[in-house]
Amino acid sequence: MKIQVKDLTAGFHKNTILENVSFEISKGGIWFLLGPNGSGKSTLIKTLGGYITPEKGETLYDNVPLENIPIKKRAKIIAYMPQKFYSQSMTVEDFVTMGATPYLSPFQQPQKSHREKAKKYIEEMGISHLSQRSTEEISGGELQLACLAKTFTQETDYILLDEPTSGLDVKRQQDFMKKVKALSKEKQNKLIVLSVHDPNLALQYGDGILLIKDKKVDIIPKTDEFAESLLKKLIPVYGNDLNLSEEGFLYWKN
Amino acid sequence: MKKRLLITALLWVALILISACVGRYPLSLEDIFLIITGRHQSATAVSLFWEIRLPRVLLVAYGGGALAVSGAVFQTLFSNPLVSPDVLGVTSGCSVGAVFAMLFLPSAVWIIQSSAFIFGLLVVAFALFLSSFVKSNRILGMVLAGIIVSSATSAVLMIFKMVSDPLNQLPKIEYWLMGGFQNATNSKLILVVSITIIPLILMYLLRYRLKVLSLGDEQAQSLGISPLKTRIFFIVLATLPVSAVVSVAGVVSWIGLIAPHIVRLCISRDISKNMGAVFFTGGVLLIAADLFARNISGLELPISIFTSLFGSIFLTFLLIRKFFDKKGGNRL
Repeated sequence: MKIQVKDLTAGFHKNTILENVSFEISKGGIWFLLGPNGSGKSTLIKTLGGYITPEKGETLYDNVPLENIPIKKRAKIIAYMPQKFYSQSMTVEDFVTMGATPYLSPFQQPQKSHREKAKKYIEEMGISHLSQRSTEEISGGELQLACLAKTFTQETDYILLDEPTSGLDVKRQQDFMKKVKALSKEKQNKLIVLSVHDPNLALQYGDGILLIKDKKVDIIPKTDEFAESLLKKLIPVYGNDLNLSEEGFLYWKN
Repeated sequence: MKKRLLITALLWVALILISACVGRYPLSLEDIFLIITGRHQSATAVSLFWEIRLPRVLLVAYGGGALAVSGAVFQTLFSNPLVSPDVLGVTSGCSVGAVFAMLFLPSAVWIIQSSAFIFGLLVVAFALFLSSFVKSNRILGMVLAGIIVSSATSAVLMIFKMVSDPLNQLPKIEYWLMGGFQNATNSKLILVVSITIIPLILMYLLRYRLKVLSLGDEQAQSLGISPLKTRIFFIVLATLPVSAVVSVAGVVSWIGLIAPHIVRLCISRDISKNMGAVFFTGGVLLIAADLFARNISGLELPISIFTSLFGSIFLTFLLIRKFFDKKGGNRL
C-alpha cells in the first residue's frame, strides 16, 4: 500500500501546474487533497490515475511505475471518480454495475454476481430506493453517491475521488464522509486520495493531508498537532484571518 | 424488454413476407410456400421469386438493419443522438467513389461498387487522420474533421456533375445519389452480408464496452477500457456496413438516424440492451420505404425520397411531442 510520486511535472499546453513534485504516501486511509481553486488538485488526481500523461516524472504504486501497468490491470488497482461525469440515461443499478467492467472478459456482460456486488454498495450508500430510477432523473448529489458506489464496486486498493462532496449539502457531506471512512476500512485498508475545499472535513476524517501550494505538494501527516500544523500551512495560502477554535475547527475571523 | 424485441423481430419477418408478395407480379403466400417447397407450376414465378424478389427483399431487410445498428453505434460513440453514420463522411465518400467510377472507369456494376466502397473507407480514414490533430477533445475533432471531408467531397461531387454529360451521365448520377434497391441480385446480397456480418456480430458482442465508453474517456479508462483504441475500432466496425450497403444501393439516408431513435423512445435507451431491436426496426423501416418506392407508381422511385420523408415526419412528431410533454423532458 504505497504511492510514490517522483519529480513530477504536469500541466496543459506549456502552462505548468505542478512542478518537480515528489512525495510518498505509505499508509492506507483517507488522504485529503487541499488547495485553492486552480492550484492543480484535479491535475494531480488525474496524473495519479494516469488519465493525464505527465511531462516529466513518474508515479509508482507499490514500487511499480504506473506506465508499466497495462490499462486493464490498472482498473483493478486504481478506481477514479471524476469531478464531472456524463451518465447516459440508464438505471442507477446499471450505472453502479459498470464498476465491475474490469472483471469482465471482452464479450461479457455483467453477471448476477456483479449485480449483487453493485446492489450491496447501492445499499451502503443509502440509495436503494433509487436503484431502478434513471440517472438523468436523480439529483446531482444522489448521482455522486451512485458514482461512489460504482467506484467501490470496482473493488480496488487505491481510490481517487475528485471533489466528491461538491454537490452535497452540509449534512450529506458528513454522511458521505462517514460512508467513505467505513468502506475504506472494509476487508483490508484502502488508500483513498480525495480532494475537497473544506479543511474541516480533512481534519475530521483525514489520515493525512496533501496541500498544493505554488506548484508543490506539502504532506501533513496526522499527528496530535494535526490542526495546528494544518493552520500553520494554510495561513500563507488563505491569509491571516484563518483561526483555530478550541474544539479544533478552522474558522474565519473578520 | 425481451417481449418488445420479439415484437420487432416478428414485425420484421411479417414485413419481409408482405414485401415478398407485393409487386408488379403479385405472389400469394400460397405461391411462396409452393415455390419454397419446389412444387410451383409457373417457371416465371419461381425464377422471379428466387432471382429478383427474394434478393431484393432480403437485401433491404438486412441493409436497413445494418444501417440502423451503425447509426446507433455512431450516436453512442459521439454521445450525440443526432449523429448519423455519415458524420465522418462515409456516404459522401461512397458517392464520390461511385460517380468517379461512372465517369472515368470502365462501366461495370462491380467497378462502381468497389470504387464506392473503397472511397467511403478512404474518406473516413482521412477524417480520422485529420481528427488526430485535435488532442484535447477527440469527439469535437472528429466532428470537425467530418465536416471538412464532407464539404470537400461535395465540392468534388459538384465538379463531377459539371463535367458529366447532362443527357447520359447526369441522370444516372442523380439517380444513384437518391438510392434504390431495384438492381438487387443474389450476388449483391451475398457480397453485402459477407462484408458486414462480422462487423455486426462484433459490435453486438462488444456492446457493453460501447456502453462504458459512453461515460466519457476518463471514466472508460479508469474502468480499464482504452478510449481512443476502442472508439476507433468501433468507428471501423460501424463504417464497413454503411459503406457496403451504400455501395450497392446508392445513398440511403435517414435510416441510421431514425431507427435508433424509435427504439430509444419505445423500447430502451440502453445500447447494451437495444441493439437487436435497432437492427429489426431499421429493417422494418427500410422494407416499408422500399414497398412505397416500387409500388406507389408504375415507375420505380428512389428510396431516399421515402426514407427522407419518414425521417422528417418522425422528427416533426418528436418536436411536437416535446412541446406538449408536460414533464418538460429535455432529451430527444
